[in-house]
Amino acid sequence: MSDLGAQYQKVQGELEDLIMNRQKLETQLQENKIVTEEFDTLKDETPVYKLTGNVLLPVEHDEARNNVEKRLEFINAEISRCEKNIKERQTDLDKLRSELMKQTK
Amino acid sequence: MSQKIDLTQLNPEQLTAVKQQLDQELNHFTQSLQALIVAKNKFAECVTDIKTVSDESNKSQKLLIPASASLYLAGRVKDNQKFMVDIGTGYYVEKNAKDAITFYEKKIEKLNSESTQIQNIIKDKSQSSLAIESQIRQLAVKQHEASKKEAAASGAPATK
Repeated sequence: MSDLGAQYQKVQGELEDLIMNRQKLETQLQENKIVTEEFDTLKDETPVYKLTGNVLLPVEHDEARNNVEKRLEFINAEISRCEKNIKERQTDLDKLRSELMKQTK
Repeated sequence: MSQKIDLTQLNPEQLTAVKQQLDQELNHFTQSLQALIVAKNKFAECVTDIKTVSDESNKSQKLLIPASASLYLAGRVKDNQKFMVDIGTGYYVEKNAKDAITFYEKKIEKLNSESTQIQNIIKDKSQSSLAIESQIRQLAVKQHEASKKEAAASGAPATK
């Protein structure tokens, strides 16, 4: 009984961590999306800089755009991975819950 | 989330649980709203800063640049019409005063519409919360009266 309970709590904790992770990814996704939108409105001659450490280094438009697009891809992949994990944990949790219910009956 | 529950069908314990959950959500949304307002104020500050710096009277304004926390170098604003705007994720774009201001004003507008959305949600949720509270109170009064009646009728606390 207490074994199952502990397991239940553990999975629940894992699920919470995953959800937090998912939220963080969402924030990053939104930020990167805003940046791409901003790139789209840029004129060709506008200089773009990237903050590297404590200095601003000039970067080419294409380079910056590619970089952000790659990041978006990566974040999207991370999100689907995270969601898959969340689903798995949720089914685990449901299973454990029904088992717990059976035991307490 | 938006399924309708008939409050009169719930017992006091369930009502309290529902109310607790609602209050939690309410808290979360109030915090988000607070954060949005803070962000909005920051952007508004940027707009005023740009306006001040780009003002004609502030051309080649002298200033002190911090080289470290305790060392400053004398400097001069070379071009008060050009601004470096942080567009997110470490990228900065050079904009003139007008474009920079529109950039921040657009952000503020977006935040404004989001805050109205959240405000509406908060209104809805606090209404539901109040409704549940009154339901709990009604139930409590009813129970109280019922037990009083029963006690008066039988002279002893009756079990139902």
